[in-house]
Amino acid sequence: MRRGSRFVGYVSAPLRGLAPAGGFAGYVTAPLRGLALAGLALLGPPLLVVIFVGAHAGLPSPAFFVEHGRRLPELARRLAGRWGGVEIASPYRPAPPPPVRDPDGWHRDGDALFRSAFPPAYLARLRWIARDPATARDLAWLLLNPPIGGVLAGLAPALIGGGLAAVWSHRPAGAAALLLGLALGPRLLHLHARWTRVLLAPSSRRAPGRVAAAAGARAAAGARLCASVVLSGVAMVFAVTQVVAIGLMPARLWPETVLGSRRFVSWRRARIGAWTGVRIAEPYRPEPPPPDPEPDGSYRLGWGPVGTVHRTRAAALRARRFGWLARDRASWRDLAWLFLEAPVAAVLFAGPAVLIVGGLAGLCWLWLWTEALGLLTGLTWSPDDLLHAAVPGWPGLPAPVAGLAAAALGLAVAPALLRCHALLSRSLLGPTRAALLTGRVDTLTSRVDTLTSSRARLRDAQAAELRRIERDLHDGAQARWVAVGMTLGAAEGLIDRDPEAARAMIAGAKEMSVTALAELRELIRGIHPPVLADRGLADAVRTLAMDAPLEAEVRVRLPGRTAAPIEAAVYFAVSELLTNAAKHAAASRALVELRHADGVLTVTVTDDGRGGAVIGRGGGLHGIRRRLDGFDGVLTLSSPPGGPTVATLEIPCALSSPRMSTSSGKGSPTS
Amino acid sequence: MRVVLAEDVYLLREGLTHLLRAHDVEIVAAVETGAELLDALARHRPHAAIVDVRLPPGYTDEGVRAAIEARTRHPGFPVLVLSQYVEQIYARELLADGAGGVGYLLKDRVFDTGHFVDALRRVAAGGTAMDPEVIAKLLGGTSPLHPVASLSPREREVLQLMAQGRSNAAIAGQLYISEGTLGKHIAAIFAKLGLQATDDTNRRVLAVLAFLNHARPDPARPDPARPDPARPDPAGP
Repeated sequence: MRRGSRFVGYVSAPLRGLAPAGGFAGYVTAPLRGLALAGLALLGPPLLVVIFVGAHAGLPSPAFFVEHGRRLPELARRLAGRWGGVEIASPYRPAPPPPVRDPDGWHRDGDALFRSAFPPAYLARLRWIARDPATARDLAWLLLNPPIGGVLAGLAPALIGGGLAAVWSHRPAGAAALLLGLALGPRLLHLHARWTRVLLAPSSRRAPGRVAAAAGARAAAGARLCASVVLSGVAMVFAVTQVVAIGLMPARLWPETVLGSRRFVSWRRARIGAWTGVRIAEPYRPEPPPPDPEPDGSYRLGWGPVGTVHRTRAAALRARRFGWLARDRASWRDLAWLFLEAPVAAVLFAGPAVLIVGGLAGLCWLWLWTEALGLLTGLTWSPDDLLHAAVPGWPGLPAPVAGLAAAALGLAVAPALLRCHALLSRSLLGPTRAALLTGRVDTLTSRVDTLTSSRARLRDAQAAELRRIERDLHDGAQARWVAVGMTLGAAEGLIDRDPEAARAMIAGAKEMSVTALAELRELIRGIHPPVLADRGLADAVRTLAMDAPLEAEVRVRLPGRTAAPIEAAVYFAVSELLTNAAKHAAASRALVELRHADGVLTVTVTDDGRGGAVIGRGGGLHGIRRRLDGFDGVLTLSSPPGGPTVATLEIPCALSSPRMSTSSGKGSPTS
Repeated sequence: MRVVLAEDVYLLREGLTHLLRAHDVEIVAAVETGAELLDALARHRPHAAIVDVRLPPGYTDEGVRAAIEARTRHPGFPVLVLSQYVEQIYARELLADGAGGVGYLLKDRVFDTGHFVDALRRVAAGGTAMDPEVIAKLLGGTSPLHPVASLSPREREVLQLMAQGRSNAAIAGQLYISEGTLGKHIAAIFAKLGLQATDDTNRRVLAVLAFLNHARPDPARPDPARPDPARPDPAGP
């Protein structure tokens, strides 16, 4: 808060003279305004509940409830300026701009892409609300304002009301209370406004002091400790569910419950790490690859010394998953942890949790409410009650003192206990030394499996390609050369007897050799396009763009060349994608982008066609995906009906020779 | 006519030498590499050069690069490029300077000796000889929005033959039409493509090739692939 406004607040306050800012009328209006402010304060907790429930319901948006909940603090700020003489600036950060559609049709939010503008706008507003420190301060104000602001605002009207009620029976005391209420009215309004400023003004950017930081850490630890108690109950529910599932339907139900438990336990691991700094690694073994069928279509799965033949793929998958989970020791260690969590929490956390919750909620909070209500209604008002509310078994001690002391004790031990719990949890939730080793071996094994199968696919594809080339040569060029030879032989025999017929035959032979050459050219183009060999990927793709029956623009950022097989795969993929764009999507324009960054070659083909493309089995796109498979490359496709279609190829590879290639549009000759 | 030949395959080099000699074309030098070609051109000052695309040492596009280099040193120097395959990108590069005297043919065209020698003479005289396959690719790579799409099938045929560099008489002969009818077709084509009509065959062919070569998207139409003109092209112009 700026010094200036504080100064203005003091000047306009009725401190220095009898007359408040509004003259003597101010003394009359101040209690009424105080009454209104006290009423406003009472609205805070119900509003907090509405915001809390509404934000967790999620619809229309958590931000929606918090945003509209800001109206009450805004009103309090305005009234603090108008009635209390303390100007409070609005502390909220500006709302985020609506999301902008990228040229490729996506809306970006961080690393996530969305077709529709709604999710990114939703997320942006959520972040805007959640990251604004004013949000938390607003909510704290809603909670704390009744006992503090409400008391400050309600004191004057309560004194006046009480005075009026008592003035007939206890004339001097009643009159004194009445006069005191009137005299203090403006002063209390000003104090109320200053209290309002504490939480509702823009927070200063100062880092919290040592004491405040330590208190904050203790408070967080206390809250987490209480949360852990609740979560230990959730853990017990998961544990019991698993046991019931084992009893009922081990093969079908149990794996589901294990996977569900794993999500909870993983989340708890992450929480424990964030709360205490004790990092716990995930101990789970990776899911094995799907089983390969036998020639007769059945599946054989061994487990220990015995095995089973499964008739269907679904049964085999179920059995494999059961075996995977049952043989992973982490599954059983998780289950043990889930069972032990509740007793451990009872031993470690129950005491401090009772101290904290009982001290703050049971003693302080309840006391505040009963006292405040008593004060406002004047029903059970007595100086004894106010100062010496009873603590069970300790009648002389004021309840709030006892409550604060108990809570402080609980909070003091909370961080150490949380850490103790984290270390205990790690002994069960972390990977064992043997599991770490096995995990590494498993990773390598599955990698080898992947490589073996992709190499086999590549080998098969190459063999098929060679067979195709052999067949094309055999049926095409080779057959034509044979025909050329035979025709020339026949012409040789005829040349003396019938020169005209011989000339016609020679012309026919020439024709055949031209056709044979054309076929060879096509064949070579399909094996390895000459322009790719001559000029590299960039110019070869430009050639494709020139040849395609649409306006294709090419943008290239490749500071070098990559391995020839990868270049060929990309070339044929772009060729296929451009053909699809022109033929199936009826596109009139396309944009081809090639770039290499962070060891990944990325190729994007965007067209303005009608979209709706899918990667169907046996189709051209599926062929591209299979071909990229051999290079660990991936093809992703976005093609909503109505377009645009965006196909993206990503291939991890290195570039050789630092030659910079630049982009060029269709039709501009490169140099 | 005196010609320098750059061809690395012995059989083809000898075959071309024999064939051309029979048609009163003198091969003053037969070389194997691009560098040797440039040397021979400086030494012999021939009327034209016949160049294979793939030459040692790299066996990639040395021939095209040597041809362009030769035409940079001697603007308009007639070069006939031969290849086992034709690519638009090379045709565009050879035609980029807008001067005549360029030929780009498949090696198969040599079989038709008469046409081949005719093409060589045309190139040596400053004309052009583009392979039908090149022209087909130039025309095939246009979108349905391109002005070429508005031509009638007959006009398209005429445009193809004209772009190959054929004379009016040759085109009329091949299509079995009178030269008067051909003139009308040509006038219609030039009107549809928005080109300036001219009587000089050579300049007319060059105008057509330049038009096809620089076929660009109309800047007046919005480009769906690039709706944001503020975004700079990552690779520059």
